[in-house]
Amino acid sequence: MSFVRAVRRDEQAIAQRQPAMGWQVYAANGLTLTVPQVVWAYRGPYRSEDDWARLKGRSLGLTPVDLQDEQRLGGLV
Amino acid sequence: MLQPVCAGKEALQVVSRPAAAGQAEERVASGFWVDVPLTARVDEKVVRWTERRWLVRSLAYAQAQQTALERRLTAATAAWHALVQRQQGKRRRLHAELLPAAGDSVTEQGVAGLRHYHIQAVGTVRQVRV
Repeated sequence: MSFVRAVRRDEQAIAQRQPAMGWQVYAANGLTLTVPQVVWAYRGPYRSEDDWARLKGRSLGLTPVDLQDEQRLGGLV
Repeated sequence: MLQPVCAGKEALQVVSRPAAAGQAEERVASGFWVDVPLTARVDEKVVRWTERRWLVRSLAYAQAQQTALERRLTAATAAWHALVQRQQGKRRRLHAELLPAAGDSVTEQGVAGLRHYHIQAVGTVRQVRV
């Protein structure tokens, strides 16, 4: 016995799902903010993790704390 | 909550990324808001306030979800084809087992209702010399 099989995308159903994609909900009890203000306020808050990421990042990568040789430290910095 | 948008009754505010001098702003999102009156009981007192809910559609997030959906559709299709592929040591499924198994792969990938699939068992008669 063998099987004849076929599969087909339902493009109409896929297209109907697309408008519901990408939505996020923000909520607050401040009633004066507009949509752009809320988006940029949410994207730009202070996060303490960012400071550590900056220290450990490429530009200030002072990570070789286990090194003892001053010359190697100087070379890496 | 998105019904007014889908029906075209709600106007969307556009969010654009500020551009450098001489360049056009890049549209990154659009959205609208609804005000919802809320009530809670705190220390035997009724407190009422209005909460504003902003519904924002990020274009990058929508694109990412679209890409993920395409990936899941591809994975579900591959799983569907793998059901009837012969392989050493792999038990062949009966026809009655295939459709539920295909439904399981669709449900697993979260693409229910987005594909049509059809399978038909074809029997072959082999002449055996007595």
